[in-house]
Amino acid sequence: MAAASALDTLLARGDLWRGVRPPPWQSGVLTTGHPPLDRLLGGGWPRGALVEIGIAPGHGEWRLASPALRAAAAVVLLDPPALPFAPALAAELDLDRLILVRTGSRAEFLDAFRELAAARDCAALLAWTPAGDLDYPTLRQCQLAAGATAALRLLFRPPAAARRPSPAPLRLAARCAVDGLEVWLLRRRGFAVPPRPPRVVLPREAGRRTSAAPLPVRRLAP
Amino acid sequence: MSRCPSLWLALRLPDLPLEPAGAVEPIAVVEGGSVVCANAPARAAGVRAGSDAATARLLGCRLRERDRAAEERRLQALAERLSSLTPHLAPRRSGDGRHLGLLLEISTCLRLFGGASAIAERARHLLAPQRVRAALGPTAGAAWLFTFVRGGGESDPERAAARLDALPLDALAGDHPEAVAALQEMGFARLGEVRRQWATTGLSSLERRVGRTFAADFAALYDPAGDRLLPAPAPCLVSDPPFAARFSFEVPATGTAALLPPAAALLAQLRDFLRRRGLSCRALCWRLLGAAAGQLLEFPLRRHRPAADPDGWLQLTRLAWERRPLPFPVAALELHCPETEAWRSQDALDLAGGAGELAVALERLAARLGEGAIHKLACRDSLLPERAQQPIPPDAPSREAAPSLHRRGLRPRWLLPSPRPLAERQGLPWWRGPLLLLAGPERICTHWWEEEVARDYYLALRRDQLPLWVFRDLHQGGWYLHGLFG
Repeated sequence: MAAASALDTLLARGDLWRGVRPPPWQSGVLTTGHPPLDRLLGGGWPRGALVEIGIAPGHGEWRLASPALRAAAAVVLLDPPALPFAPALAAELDLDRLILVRTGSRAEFLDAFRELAAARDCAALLAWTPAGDLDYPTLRQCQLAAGATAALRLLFRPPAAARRPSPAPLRLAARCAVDGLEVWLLRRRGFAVPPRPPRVVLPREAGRRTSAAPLPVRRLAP
Repeated sequence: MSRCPSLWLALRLPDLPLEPAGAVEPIAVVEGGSVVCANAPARAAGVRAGSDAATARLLGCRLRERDRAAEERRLQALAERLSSLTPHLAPRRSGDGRHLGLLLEISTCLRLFGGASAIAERARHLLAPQRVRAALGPTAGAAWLFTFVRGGGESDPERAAARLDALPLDALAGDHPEAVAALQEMGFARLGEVRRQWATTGLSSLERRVGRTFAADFAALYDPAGDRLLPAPAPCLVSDPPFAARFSFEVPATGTAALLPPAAALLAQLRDFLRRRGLSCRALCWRLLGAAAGQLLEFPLRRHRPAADPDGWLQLTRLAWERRPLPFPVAALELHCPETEAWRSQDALDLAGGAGELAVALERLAARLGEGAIHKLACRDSLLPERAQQPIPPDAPSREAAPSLHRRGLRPRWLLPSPRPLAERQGLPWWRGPLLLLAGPERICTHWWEEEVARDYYLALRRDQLPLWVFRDLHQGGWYLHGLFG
């Protein structure tokens, strides 16, 4: 009897891997706004879990995340790699709900991440790891902080980080490809990633510049 | 609507020149060779106000020269304490400077505090350990005169007038010595006689004989409206210098831990200051001063909404101070609060789960990381991309619409803070490989009134398929990277 209840306790744990199953995201998912990506992730971005994305800075974070941010009450960018260009973002986000936070050191980054991730009304937190990436214990602290709420917590790491271990329950990698942004799965809790990881391509946004006539293309002679 | 009859509480402070109050040795304060004020042990020894300074010394008193400036400061401080009772409050000094006190108009706050005697009791409590002579009166002048006579005050105008009538003219000698002397020469001895004269011949004859100021004061003694059409408004205490408080360390403090207890005390002072005025503040500034000149460290703090609670401010203070080690031992700590705003009750919305947590997190981070570390973005009307947006404080609204040029054109979502020069090979930009120009040019010419800017912007593709926003400077030549289509 005691053994059975111990097993039940074990099975109730969210971080127990149980083969191919629907992802055990306790707080549900949030659609990414890209149907193929939703299928890859098993529904959408998990809420209340650290989502780790290996991507070179500035190579497609907005493309990946912005559809999910449209309805967010508050979006916080922690140490973004460049300035978000407000006139371009105003078309898809409410700038009034976009907040930028810059830290100066790793300790400050961790403090800020934990403070922001724990705030329930911070609907989306997009963080870029400081130079030199983060070590496993720090990532673990980030993951614990992300679990405190049921909101979107994305952590962008350099592409090379894909080879290093991480406690994040969902890990992705992305890079620019000929036909758009290529995204592939590295790890998903409750899902055995095959040796050739499944990948999707988010096509380039053709419709972003709708009202104006296409710009003339003039190839300069070399 | 009938006006509520005014009611004044006069508080005379006979021991105000004595400092410190409550000393056990006999002390007498002297001015111009005679005693102004003596403490209880001195009075027991037989010293009275008006005694000779030499006599007081013979009777074993320690003599102190009167310091009027210090007295004035103490009076202001006491007025400050009483401002929690009523804002209609004014210091009162007799013309010869012998008597000091405070006048409070309390007709509007009787119900709040449960009657005039309850207010007087509170006032005594707030002024402790000062000796207080309190009296009520229908006018400020009457209340003040009643503090000199036995039997206290009288709030009923009729009976108060009868009691004023019985007072000798000498009662007014402190404020109007010449007028009183003149009246006494004419044969007047009591206030009542003067009043009857005034009633029969009118105020103007009194003005002609003994002066306009005496006549006005005399009229105001009996009747708050005097002979004026409109009653003078009760004076308001409006001595609101911005809050500033200081704590000096006997031994300079070397660690932030030693600064926190005095900081808590200063914040409690700030809370009292704000509460009495019905204010709160959103920003304050700590100044840490070293022993040497020029050693100064400032820590401005900001809350997302106005607050007066010392605990919240102390928490932010701690975060700010832990940011970096103190570069010098701190000899003095100053708290400044330059801006205040009216206190408002917290929004009911804040009671909903989670609302405000982000704001609290941001204010803590602002304290830890510094003011500029947290900002929002707002569009600005400029054709030049790097000027088309600006950082704004996180509590300011970002409402400005994007300039139409940037709305129509192809724009990247990441902008480099300043354009980055690119190498040029065979007329094409080069950044870790040749860049392929896909779309463009879009010409942006502006700022002809300063330093003219002319650029041709292109959408370029790097070899790893990263789309870039590059431009060619038409004046200087050369390629620049300005944004990423991430």
